[in-house]
Amino acid sequence: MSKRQLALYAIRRLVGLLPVLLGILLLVFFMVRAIPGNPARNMLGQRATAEEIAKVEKQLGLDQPVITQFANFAWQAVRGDLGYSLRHHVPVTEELARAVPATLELTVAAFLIACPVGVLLGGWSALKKGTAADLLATAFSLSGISVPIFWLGLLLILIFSVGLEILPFGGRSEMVIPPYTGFLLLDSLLGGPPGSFVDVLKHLVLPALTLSTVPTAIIARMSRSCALQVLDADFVRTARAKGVPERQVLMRHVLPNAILPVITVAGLQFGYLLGGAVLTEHVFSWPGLGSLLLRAISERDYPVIQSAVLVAAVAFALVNLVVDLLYACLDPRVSLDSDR
Amino acid sequence: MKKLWRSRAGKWGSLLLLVLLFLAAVGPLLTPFHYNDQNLDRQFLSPLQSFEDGPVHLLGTDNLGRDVLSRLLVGARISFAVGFVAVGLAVLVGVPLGTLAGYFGGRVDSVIMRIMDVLLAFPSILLAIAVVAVFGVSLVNAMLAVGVVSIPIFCRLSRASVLTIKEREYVAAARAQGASHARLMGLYILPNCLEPLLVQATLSMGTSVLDAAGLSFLGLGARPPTPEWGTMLGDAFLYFQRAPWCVAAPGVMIFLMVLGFNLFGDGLGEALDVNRP
Repeated sequence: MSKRQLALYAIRRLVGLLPVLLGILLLVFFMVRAIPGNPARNMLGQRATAEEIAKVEKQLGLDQPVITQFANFAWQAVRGDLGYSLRHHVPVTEELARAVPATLELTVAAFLIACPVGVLLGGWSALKKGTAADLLATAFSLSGISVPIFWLGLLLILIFSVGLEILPFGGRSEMVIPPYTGFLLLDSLLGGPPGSFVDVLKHLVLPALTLSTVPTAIIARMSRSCALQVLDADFVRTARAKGVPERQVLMRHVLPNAILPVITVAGLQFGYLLGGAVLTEHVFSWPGLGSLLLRAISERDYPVIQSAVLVAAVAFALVNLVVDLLYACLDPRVSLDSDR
Repeated sequence: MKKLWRSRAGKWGSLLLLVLLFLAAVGPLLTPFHYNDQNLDRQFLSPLQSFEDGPVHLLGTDNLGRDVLSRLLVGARISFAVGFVAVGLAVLVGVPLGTLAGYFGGRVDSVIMRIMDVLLAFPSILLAIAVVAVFGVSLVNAMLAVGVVSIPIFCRLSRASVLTIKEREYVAAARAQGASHARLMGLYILPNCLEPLLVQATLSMGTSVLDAAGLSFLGLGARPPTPEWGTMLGDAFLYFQRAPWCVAAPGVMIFLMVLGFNLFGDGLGEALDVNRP
């Protein structure tokens, strides 16, 4: 396909994303309106005075017609203004700016573990189909999708932090690192005290491993079934019959054909990671989006709840778009004329 | 049935679920302790210990001296209930919507599927958390939240099946005989879409149990002293160094139940020859 075709496709997908984004905004907007009773009183508690309630109602724009409220909300959200935290009286964007890099660092680390491990495990088990190794790998991936990750996190802490005492059991770092980007691995290299990089890395290991469990298992399952299908295909038999070395058969014929569905699944898993991070962050006291959301829920800080959900959903939608585009780039067979 | 038993996954999954069902049904009647019986004198007894001359606590006691095993067994009932209620809700809402979308197509289809796209745009546990944040923390709301999250899966799956089935000749024949839309959908189309839905329902039971336990662990599901497994884990999180068995036991139970549903679903998929969605 030409670059122009691809660009057109990208634009069409972006336009197709608009109704979904609008839907996300609507849902997040009505979240607060769906709270039974008076939202302002709910947020402030039973002891709030009428004046305080009126003030919050005004702050949230609850005294205006619903359509106006939604238009304002959407317009502000588009401009990146997400309002103020009701409890901490700082702009929500400020809180998000602290939390989002932490979550991204964690999810990217988990993703970087899950993809290669999942693909290798799945591919290997397909090559060894029917052997004990295959059974072991299959058992591993089946366990991976069945295990509660918050429990796994606790077990890892019990083993590596409490028992062996080789890894820390919570937080992002013991050291004071000047926040340039919010990504501590990067910041520690840019201007942290000596040894801070290793310290940050050590803090990252257990949460990232925990979070990567489910995606690793799902990618492994997908890789195995895709590899099995391709290994059975006629062109692989032909290549082998021609005497192409096995290594080349795998790298040139099997891998490129088996990897496409895996990419889609892997991309979807990135979205799962954003959600799964809530549980992992709670277990490891990781100060990310999930922890922010849980804190906001316990404090009934609705602007923060709305924004955290909004950011995660928009990120998820964008990741899915990127995956689709990547897929279109890699697979010449994808018909660019139909949307799905 | 025979085919299910012949697949390795199906066999182990059925066995696991049968054992868990049995434990949930009769287990609480057999233990000598009440699941909420507190006694601070016997707190943090490790597994296999007994208090004075009393019966042995096979899995030890927790911070309030409650017997962990008794609580786990009652928790099995709750988790089965969570799975059935959540998936039941998702099926009851998702399948009719998907059937309508697939059958009528056109505008009905676009409206329903766009709504599903929005629901799918949220990472599932996050959507569940949002639902609970709005409607309040309780076990029932957690079940509903987890159910709502699964609606789009059933909607899409039933729509896809309906799209293929409605082109079959026997449907055209029934239509030619003057069957109404409702009759066509209910009597001719839907019954032939059941197999993939059945497989998906089984797999969704596992995810629902897992998600609901996660919500409870975060303090957004069942409230203490309900012996829900996630809640028990959430409690044990506070003193997990003191009593690791309180962490280990509920986690193993959640794992086994979810594994059971996943194996059973895989086996069912093989037996019915349904491609996993």
